[in-house]
Amino acid sequence: MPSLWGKAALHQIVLAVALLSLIAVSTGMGYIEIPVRTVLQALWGKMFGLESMLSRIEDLHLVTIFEVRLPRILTAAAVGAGLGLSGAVFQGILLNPLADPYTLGVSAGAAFGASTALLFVPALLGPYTVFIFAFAGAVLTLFAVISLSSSAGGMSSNNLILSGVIVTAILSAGISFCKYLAQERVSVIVFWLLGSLASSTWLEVGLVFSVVGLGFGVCLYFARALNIICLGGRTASTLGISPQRTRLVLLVTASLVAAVCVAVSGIIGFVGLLVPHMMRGLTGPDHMKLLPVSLLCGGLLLLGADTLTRAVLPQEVPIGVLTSLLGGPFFCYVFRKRQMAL
Amino acid sequence: MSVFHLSKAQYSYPDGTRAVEGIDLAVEPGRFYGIVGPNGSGKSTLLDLLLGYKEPSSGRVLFRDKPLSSWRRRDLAREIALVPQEFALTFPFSVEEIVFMGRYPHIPRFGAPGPEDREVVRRIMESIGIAPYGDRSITELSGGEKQRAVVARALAQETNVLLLDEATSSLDVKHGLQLMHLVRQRQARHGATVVSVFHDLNQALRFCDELVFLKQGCLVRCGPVSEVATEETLERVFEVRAKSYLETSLGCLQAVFWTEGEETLGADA
Repeated sequence: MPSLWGKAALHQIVLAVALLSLIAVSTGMGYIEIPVRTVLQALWGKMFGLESMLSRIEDLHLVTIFEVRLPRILTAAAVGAGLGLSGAVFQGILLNPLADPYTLGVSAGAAFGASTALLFVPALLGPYTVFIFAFAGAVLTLFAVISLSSSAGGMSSNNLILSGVIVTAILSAGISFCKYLAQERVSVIVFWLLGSLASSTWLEVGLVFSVVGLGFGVCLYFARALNIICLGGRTASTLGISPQRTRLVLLVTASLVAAVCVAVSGIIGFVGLLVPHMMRGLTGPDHMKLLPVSLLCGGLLLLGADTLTRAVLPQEVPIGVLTSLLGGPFFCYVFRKRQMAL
Repeated sequence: MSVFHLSKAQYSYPDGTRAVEGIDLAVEPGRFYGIVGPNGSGKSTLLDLLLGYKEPSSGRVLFRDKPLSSWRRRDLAREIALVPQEFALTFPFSVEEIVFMGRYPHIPRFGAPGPEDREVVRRIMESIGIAPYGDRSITELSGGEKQRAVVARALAQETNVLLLDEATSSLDVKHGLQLMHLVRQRQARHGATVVSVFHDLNQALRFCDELVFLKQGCLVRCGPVSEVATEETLERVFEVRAKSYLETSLGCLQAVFWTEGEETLGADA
């Protein structure tokens, strides 16, 4: 509401500052400790091309920051942001607070694409073969789900969720078959499915940032319409909105964002489910306020988890496992608290 | 110029079942129309045709002399508002947020609500008596309070035409009457045109200027209440025995219904 816009802006500023601070702190953390001041100098120097500032920093530190850590850190932040954003959009379109970016089978499609690539043609299209197959799998699954739900009498929330469940079940069988065929090479598929940000590159950073950024712009443009769609299709159409078209645009946008995230990082659960839940408690359900904070909080959460597994825990735990381990109990807590409040 | 003009309007479901057929109707400005008929007579479908939510399978639906389908959705949203029958929300929007949604057709795509929008919302919330709980979540409200918020949302659209789909059917007697008085007041003050589907025939007899009787998707009769609400029409449409009488305390027609068997039982007693 207009009177609360100041509060909403404050939430966004606090989260943005926290995310930027975590990026700086996390870049310094790891096997080679780098003081935050050095990290900031390196970032400042690089951004504004200040060679004199960069020359004062050890080469080892520069390589660690720019070649090893930042691609992974920025990918983690962007993937988390993308998952938080698409989770919020999915929950809004499907009118279901339990929906997440994977409800429509995007993750199963990506996993099937990646499994096929890893099993049959791991190097067909160079180092990005798995990424391309995963992305293609996710997109094809999305269109299969949309066409299935449209042919079942309209893209209603129930039809979409049911179509997602059907397609996911079929693809899961396909993934199991791939694992069975892989025999001793099964670990490659399993590790991909567990999710990892370890081998992120600057190309991936650019790709995820641009897709998430573009997706955010589109979703924010339709945020007010998304609020109104929550009133039901018939009422929405009397307020000047085409519910079918708006739903389709948002569905495709949020799915593409999720598809790129999953293709880059593997399957990372709970971020897309949990973040919009937590943020709704903070901002209320208005998507104009919810989408920006879900984006920022998603980035913060996944970067936090990735930093934990990379630099704090004695041994690296796959990021997908860690988010589920932390997210599951936390979700139970949120759920219990809400039940008690009712 | 009629507000709506329907000629031979027909709507069939994808499986070919006809919901309404051969509807010829002119809705005149500033009048309160009630659509009545038994269950499955096509009342809500007729309303959907007026809303432009459904397109006629054949025939024409004109709004201000232009086919409804040729209107831009956003322009139409500044002309016609709907108060739906049910209102289920998954997410806990506040009452004020819900009322603000009525301003959507007036707010530019990239703009925020302006001072004029805020003033309209404030005025309407006060006039409907929901201002004190503007910050409360709609999911926490009682049925009566919730429906008032929904009416406020429709009024915030500031349209000349208001359509209601059994808007009082989920309310108790008191809240139902309050809501109808509110709509009637609005119609009298602003010269708005109202078309409402009614479940309760006596409510329709009391508040409407004109009645549209539907049966099995066809228009049986339509015209001023005092002319068309005859016992013969009521019996034909609802397939029960009916008696209409002038309720002097309210100054309007009311009706009582009974079935053939009941009449005999009454005589026995």
